[in-house]
Amino acid sequence: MSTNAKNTNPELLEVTNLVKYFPIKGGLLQRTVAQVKAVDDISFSVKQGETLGLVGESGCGKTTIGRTVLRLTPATRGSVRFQGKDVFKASVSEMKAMRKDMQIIFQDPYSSLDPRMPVGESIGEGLLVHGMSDTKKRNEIVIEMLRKVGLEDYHARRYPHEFSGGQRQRIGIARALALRPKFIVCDEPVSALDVSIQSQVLNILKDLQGEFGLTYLFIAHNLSVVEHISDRVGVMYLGKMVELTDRESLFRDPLHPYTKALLSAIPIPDPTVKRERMILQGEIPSPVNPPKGCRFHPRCPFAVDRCKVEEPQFKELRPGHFAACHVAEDQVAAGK
Amino acid sequence: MASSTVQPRASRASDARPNMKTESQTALVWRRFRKHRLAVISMVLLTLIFLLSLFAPLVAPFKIDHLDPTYKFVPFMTVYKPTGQVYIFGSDQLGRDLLTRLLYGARVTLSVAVLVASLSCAVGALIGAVAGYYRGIIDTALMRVLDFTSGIPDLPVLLILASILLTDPKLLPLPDFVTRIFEALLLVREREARSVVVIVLVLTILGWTGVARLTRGMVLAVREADYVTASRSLGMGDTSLILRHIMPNVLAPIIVAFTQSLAGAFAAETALSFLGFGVQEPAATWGNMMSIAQNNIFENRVMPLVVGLPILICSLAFNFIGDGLRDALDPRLKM
Repeated sequence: MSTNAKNTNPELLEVTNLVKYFPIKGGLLQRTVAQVKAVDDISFSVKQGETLGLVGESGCGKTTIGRTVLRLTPATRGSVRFQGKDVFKASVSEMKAMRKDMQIIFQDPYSSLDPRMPVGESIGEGLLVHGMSDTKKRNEIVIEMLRKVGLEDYHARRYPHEFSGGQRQRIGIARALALRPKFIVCDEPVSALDVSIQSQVLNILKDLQGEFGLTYLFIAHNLSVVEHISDRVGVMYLGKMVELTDRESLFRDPLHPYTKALLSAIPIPDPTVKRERMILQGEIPSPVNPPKGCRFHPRCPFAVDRCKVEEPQFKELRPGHFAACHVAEDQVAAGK
Repeated sequence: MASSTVQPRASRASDARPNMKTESQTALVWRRFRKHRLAVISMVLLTLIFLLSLFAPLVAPFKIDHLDPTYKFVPFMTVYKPTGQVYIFGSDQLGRDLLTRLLYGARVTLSVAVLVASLSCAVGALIGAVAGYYRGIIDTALMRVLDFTSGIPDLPVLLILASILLTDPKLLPLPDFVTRIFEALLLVREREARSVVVIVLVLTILGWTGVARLTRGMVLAVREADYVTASRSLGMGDTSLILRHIMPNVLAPIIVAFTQSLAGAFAAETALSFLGFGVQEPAATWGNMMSIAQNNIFENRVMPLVVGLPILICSLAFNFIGDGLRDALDPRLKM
């Protein structure tokens, strides 16, 4: 499916004004003394069949988005609609039915599998939860899933510690797939893996997407990985979405200065190439006390006075190209 | 050597032959446990004592109600003339055979230890798991109860509770079948069966806290693991999540705590009976035999040893097994 065709697809997941604050408790009475603003007012949508990449530095709230969208951590405010249904307002039984369609793949292949359970049982667990009590039928599906991710049927009886990291990650994928979900949150699925294994797992994910018509929310901090797999990419900084557009325009013509800095940091595997690097000064500020105005302004080389006081709106500056930056907005308006 | 360069590859799961059976967790634990020699010896000894006391009516040299004051305080290996039976470990002040009474007494003492340890571990694990999993107000409430219970000094309360509950049966009405079961199991009379039940209950009420605290701590860590989140995202409910994923992963320290709890309950029962608040004469327990030995220390000097050594050996054995299990179950020492 080409990117253009996917643009017309209906929206599978709609996130509106999602907010997630983690309270910091302290003092004698364990009162909330401060809040970590992990995700602060983010809206986006994921279309049927596409892969939306989500990038940003560690601690910017990518993982929190993935988990709140699946209601694995309760959201503070905002709404998430999956196939038109409100995820946060669903009852227990509605939620259980919805969970069948939305799954997650974890970053750490070492903690995502129960060490005391044979992997076949872990893979078949979802089927059991959703009422397939016939062991024989379950085993058939488990074996089918293992084969799909490039493992063998006899691996089902083994325990997680008998597998390598890449193999475990593939088992994690098999578990997420066993229920034939429509939507999968891939929470940095390749970050913990060797580079040679990364492409292997990415290709499995791509193949399975084609085969089952999956929709991915792909969280990563590696832009090359995101470029490889995504149709559209969202860039996050300190709990905010700063830019969101399709892959080509993001890599060819980024609008937000933070995206530009990230892109210039991608290593090029050619020692003869010299290029201008945009090196950001300072550290990422604490999400407990984010800077006023634009959150990026203390580190932004293009910041103007307005950036320090007024928070830029997340706007569609070009068709399908969203960004939150005063400078970029002015540039686009000036026709540059 | 050609073979040594090939060998390491065989340990990878992907390279192993498909029909090769993988070593189960239990086999792994057993293999490591065997390396702990003292623990293995303790295990053999305890099993032997358990079996001997279980088959006490068959293996004991005398009948349990045999007594003959003319044979009081006889030394080792004295022959009982009327029947030709032998006092292997000598006799006490009523001419009762010490070995026979030790075997029957072990039934009471060891049953109390096993029952108290099982019950307090079950109760403790359940309360700890609920507190750790649900957190919040449930956790706070349960932990305050725990703090209160573990703040009570054990022995004085035990003495008071046991003596009150034992003197007045109406304070604690027990269903008939419970005492009936204990009568049959321990081969004692109704009064003694009742006191065993009371002791088990009291020790359990005071003994669950350690396991509960341990379990809660472990559950707090395990509930955040990705595989728990994964199962939740599959739509699994709390109960099956706790039973299928959380409990198996916190089981190892609970098993170790179980053996420590065995040792503790064993010592507590012995102490109670020794002080005269536990199971009363003429029923034998190691504690009340010890108190007889103490009262008659100048008439029969070996009796304190005959009774004391088994108590010492069992106490040590429980602890050694605990040590061995701790080493065997520790996942950080995976070999």
